[in-house]
Amino acid sequence: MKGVVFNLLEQLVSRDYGEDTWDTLLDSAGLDGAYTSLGSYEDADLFKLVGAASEALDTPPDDIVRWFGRNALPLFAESYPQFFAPHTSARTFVLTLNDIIHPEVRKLYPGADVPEFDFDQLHEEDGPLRMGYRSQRQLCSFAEGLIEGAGAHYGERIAIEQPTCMLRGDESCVLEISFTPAEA
Amino acid sequence: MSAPTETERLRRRLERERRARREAEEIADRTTSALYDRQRELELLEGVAVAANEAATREDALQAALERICTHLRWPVGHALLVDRTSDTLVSSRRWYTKEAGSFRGFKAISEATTFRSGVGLPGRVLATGDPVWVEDMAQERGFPRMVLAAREGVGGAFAFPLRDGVDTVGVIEVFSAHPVAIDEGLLAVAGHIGSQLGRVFERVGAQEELSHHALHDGLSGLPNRVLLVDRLRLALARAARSSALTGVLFIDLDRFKDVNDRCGHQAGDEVLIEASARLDAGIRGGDTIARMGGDEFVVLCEDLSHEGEALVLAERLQRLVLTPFQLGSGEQHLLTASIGIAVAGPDDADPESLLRDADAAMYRAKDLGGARHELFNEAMRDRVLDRLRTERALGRALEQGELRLHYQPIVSLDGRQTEGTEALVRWQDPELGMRSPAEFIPVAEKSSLILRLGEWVIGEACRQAALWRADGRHNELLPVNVNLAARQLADERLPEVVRAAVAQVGLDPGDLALEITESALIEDAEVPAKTLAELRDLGVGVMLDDFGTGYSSLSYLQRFPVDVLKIDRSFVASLSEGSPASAIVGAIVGMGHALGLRVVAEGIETEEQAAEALRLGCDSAQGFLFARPATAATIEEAAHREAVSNAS
Repeated sequence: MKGVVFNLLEQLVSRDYGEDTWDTLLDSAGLDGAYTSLGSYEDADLFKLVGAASEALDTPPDDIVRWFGRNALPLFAESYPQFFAPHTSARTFVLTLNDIIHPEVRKLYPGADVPEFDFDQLHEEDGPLRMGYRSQRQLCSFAEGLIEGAGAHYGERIAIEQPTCMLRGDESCVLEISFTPAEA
Repeated sequence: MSAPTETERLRRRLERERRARREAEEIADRTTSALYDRQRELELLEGVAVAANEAATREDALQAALERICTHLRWPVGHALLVDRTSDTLVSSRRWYTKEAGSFRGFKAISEATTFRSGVGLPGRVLATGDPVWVEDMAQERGFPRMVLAAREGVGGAFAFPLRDGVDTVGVIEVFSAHPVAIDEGLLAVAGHIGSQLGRVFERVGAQEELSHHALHDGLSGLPNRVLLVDRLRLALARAARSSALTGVLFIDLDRFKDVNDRCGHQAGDEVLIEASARLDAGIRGGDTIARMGGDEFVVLCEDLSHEGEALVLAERLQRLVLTPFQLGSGEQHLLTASIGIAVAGPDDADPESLLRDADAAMYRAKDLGGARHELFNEAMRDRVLDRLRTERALGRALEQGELRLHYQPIVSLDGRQTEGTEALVRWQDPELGMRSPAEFIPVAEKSSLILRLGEWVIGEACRQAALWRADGRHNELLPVNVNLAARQLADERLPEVVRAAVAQVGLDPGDLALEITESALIEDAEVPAKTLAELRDLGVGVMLDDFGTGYSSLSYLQRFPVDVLKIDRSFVASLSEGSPASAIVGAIVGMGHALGLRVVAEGIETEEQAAEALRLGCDSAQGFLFARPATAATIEEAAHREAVSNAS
């Protein structure tokens, strides 16, 4: 896991819950917390932090991860507006993940192990978008959070169903995403 | 445990930030240096690719790759090997990079002399697996045939990788460091790319070479041909001009090779040529080029001679290699010798053609001196060649402008001293140089096709004179007129037609013409003369065997070739006296000639004693200064007339 993910989490936790909370999470997870965006760290570190937060807030880990994704997205939009500007809807933005956004991530963070999504193009343009996700990290909730954040960015309401999910023992996750314009 | 104070919390965060910064800096350093390495590796790969694509030959591509890899690594020595497909072994391509010229001599020598089987030595390991092999310290490894020399001459570590054409390993490049060196994974990856890049170039250049190979090589022997040799010679001379080295050219001609063709057919001749090519090729030094120039002529190009002696040593070695009998598939054996002309050029003589010409002239000299020897070119040889060329040109002009004359020498019966024919002898009245000797210009003409034109003129002129005498009627004893034929004329299938036309043109009775041939003319080409002589005899022209006793004097000639007269060579006549060995020989020839129904003529009679002895031994006729010198037609007519008058009175 690239250090930048830990930096983002620290930034959001410190912003919403105070710096002391981040220290407390590190202590509970037994981590020293010196993360640099350029480095790579154990995936387990992230899960330890999520687990500690889940316990402290008495919230399921998935919800913690989804919160992380939803709140991380505006930070991305602030740092990399060029990827958001060409789009007027979350749907077209999400469709650029494989071909534009993740390649840029690899460029900035050599060795970044970003997931490859599997978009089902058979659906009609105004129907739900089916997005397959398969990763050892099983962070489908992070994807959900990010997509919800993207909806918020474009002023849309997002509803996501997961007919299959690795967290429920399925082979892969399928996210069925419905985009609804806010004014509708 | 009390809650941490604000100061403690801040100190802890500060410490965390510091560690993160240091780690970030380390990562940045590592990334930057990895990027630099990667950049250089890409430059290396690009450099090799560009050079390889520009290379005209596999060797050039290998050389370019070796230089770039070694200078990239700053390693002192690199070497390329090629897979020999027939034995599936690796042999040296003789392409090297060495940082310092002349270094690693022993290591190079043993590398070039070693054939690496799969699995053996550094290249063999690459061949066995098809993967690069890295040796951190040669001294610590076992199973390297070259290890001892490598260590002595300062090789530390080594790295070798395959040149791949698809899945096939077609060669191996090995590079050596001065000191033990740790494995470099990045380089291994780049080497993989270089290997397939070169492999592809090999395939492309290989196809081109295949095409140009045909244009630049001799089909029979597979050796380079004249075109390629001249090109290599030009390059060699250009290099020599920079390095001040000597360049040698050996012009090799197999003596009497024609006999093989004539006696055993062209297939046998080809077999001998292929075998000779292989022997000569095996005898030259590494780096020398041997080419077949056509026929039985070969040329060796020696670069980097330190002195002329080296070329002489090589010539001796090549001559020895030819001396071993040639064993043909048919079971026949042939003994051959070689004549070799050597020319050595200094750095300033940069003309390939003249160097070849000099070596050719020296080869001619070796032949003139009897063959089976070598001669180093000197200026006198060039003068001889130039003289020959000048004479050739002048003789051509003489033929056109009518500077040639025939003189006639009577042949007389020994018992009654009656004239019974004449021998026509060519004379050349050069307007600038005066009377020129046939001994000078006939051999020159014989070396070129001029002899055919000259011979044709002589036949025509002799026929004209003979027809005049016959028409005149007063000097029929001067007939027949004998004309000398050269070997090349006799080998020319058009000869019977030439004679027929000459006789017909002046309305001459063919019986008034006789042709003198030498034994050597008969051996030169055994098949054509027998047929030609038979046709001439059918025409009614007389045939004499001239200079008998000086050549092979093989009785089989007399059986195979239809002749009427034997002319005993003047060298026997000169030492004729009663009881001398010459007398015994002449007696034997006469006995044999008569037994075969031939007339026997003694040539070169100068004294009465010789005439008496020739008569005693049974010679029928004679020719010589004692009776008459060669003279113009008018002069001998006059003499014949005087003789007739004095006989009548």
